[in-house]
Amino acid sequence: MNRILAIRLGTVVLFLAIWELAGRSGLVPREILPPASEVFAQIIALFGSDNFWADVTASLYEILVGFVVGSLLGLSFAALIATSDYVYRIFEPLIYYLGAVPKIILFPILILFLGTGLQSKMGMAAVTAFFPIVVNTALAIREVNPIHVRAARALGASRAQLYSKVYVPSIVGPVLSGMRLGLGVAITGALLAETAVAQVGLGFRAVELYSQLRIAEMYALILLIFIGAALVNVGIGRLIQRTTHYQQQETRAGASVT
Amino acid sequence: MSGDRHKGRGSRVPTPPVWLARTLVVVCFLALLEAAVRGGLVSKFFVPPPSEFLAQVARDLVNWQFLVYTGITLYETGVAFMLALAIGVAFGFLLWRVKPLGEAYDPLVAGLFSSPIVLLYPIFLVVFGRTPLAIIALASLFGVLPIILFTRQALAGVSPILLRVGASLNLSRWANFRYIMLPAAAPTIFTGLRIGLTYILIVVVAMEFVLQIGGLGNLVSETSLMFRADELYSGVTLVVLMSAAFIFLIYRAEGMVRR
Repeated sequence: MNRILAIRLGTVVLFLAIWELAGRSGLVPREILPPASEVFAQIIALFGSDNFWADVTASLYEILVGFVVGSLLGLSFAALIATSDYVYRIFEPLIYYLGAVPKIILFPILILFLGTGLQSKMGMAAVTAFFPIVVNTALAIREVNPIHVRAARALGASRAQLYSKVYVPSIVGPVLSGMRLGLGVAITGALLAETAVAQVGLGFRAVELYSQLRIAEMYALILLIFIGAALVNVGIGRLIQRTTHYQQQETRAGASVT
Repeated sequence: MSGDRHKGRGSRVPTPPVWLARTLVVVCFLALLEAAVRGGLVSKFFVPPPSEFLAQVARDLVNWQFLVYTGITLYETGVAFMLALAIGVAFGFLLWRVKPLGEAYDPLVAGLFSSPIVLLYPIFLVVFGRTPLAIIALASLFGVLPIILFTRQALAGVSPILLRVGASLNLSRWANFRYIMLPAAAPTIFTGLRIGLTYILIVVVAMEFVLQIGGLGNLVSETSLMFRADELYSGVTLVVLMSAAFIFLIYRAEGMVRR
């Protein structure tokens, strides 16, 4: 265990050292790779700037609204198609193939409907979040153990009880991990859309800094975006573990795939 | 495909085969859309009637320009995949071979896989300029991650019984690897390759759209600049169709290689 920690720490230190040296020695031009220390100084500076917090607020707002809309649509659509075997088989390949299309190409259509403001980015977040949530929820509903359902029926469960005591508890784990995936791609979708057309937001700012050749600030901002996304991901992972502690955990790679 | 194995209950109404029903669903959707647009429920400014933009799709499909775009996307995807394949399998092998290294790096690779890699693109623009090279580099960086994860998992997951068979046959290390490890690990590695290739394709098209250079993604961003709804919808439909076709082929290829 200690050796593993040592390898990790060593890697981080080595990475930062090479980064710093490459930037400082002039081996790599500063305009391409500013030294790590400079980038970290910019991170501190970012925390003090009003622009940064305005961007964070705008991006978070877009992501949250989009994610909620996408989740609601995704969950209800999944419930709609997964209850019948036949209907599920009609829609499964459609969802699967549409899900594998880069959603950003739908962005011009969203702009057409929602304008170039925050709404079109919310739309982007909603569309990207929709697919992993539908896929995971529909699968989860279909994999509810029929024996449990029959057992509950035999014991005289009402329809409401059937849902609250059998269906919901047995799908909550996969549904939550689907929503976690959905939130992850919603972050990417919204910010990527911001880099294309926006007036505010973290993605917009990154591209703005790039076009103004403020490269160290740009690195700092992108680094912060990554740290933020990682924190959200880990935080939700913890939350899921807590709520589904009684269930076996899904395999880690299986969730982030397809 | 068409055989319905139903659970008897509730299937008294005869149902058409699934593929037919699926086609009907799509056709009905388009027909409803057509009616909504023609009836004035949805403005023509937002959605062109499907009959119009589908005609445009047909015209664009036979346009040489479209073939060029498709070729560029395929080329970028291919190069990025080759890079990701070589680096990913080698790195996955290394992580399996040197156990502590694998245990230290596996969660990091998995973490990177779930991080918004695409948003690194301004950095790639700084390094490579606004060129296809930036797209290829970014796409292969994303695609390499599942290949690493699955290669390591595949090699680590080879049944110990098989390994003991190899040992009892006194196979040399190379023979053991070639005839026992590799065939046993191949299916999982192929899954990793399929996922990697799918993601590479997505990143390539997305980046082409955002950077407005290169192939199919660029096709959409160009049509979106013309402010003509039918051109735009036709571009989007084409990219959706091409992506679906690629994904289908990738699945087929995986199935063929596995056998």
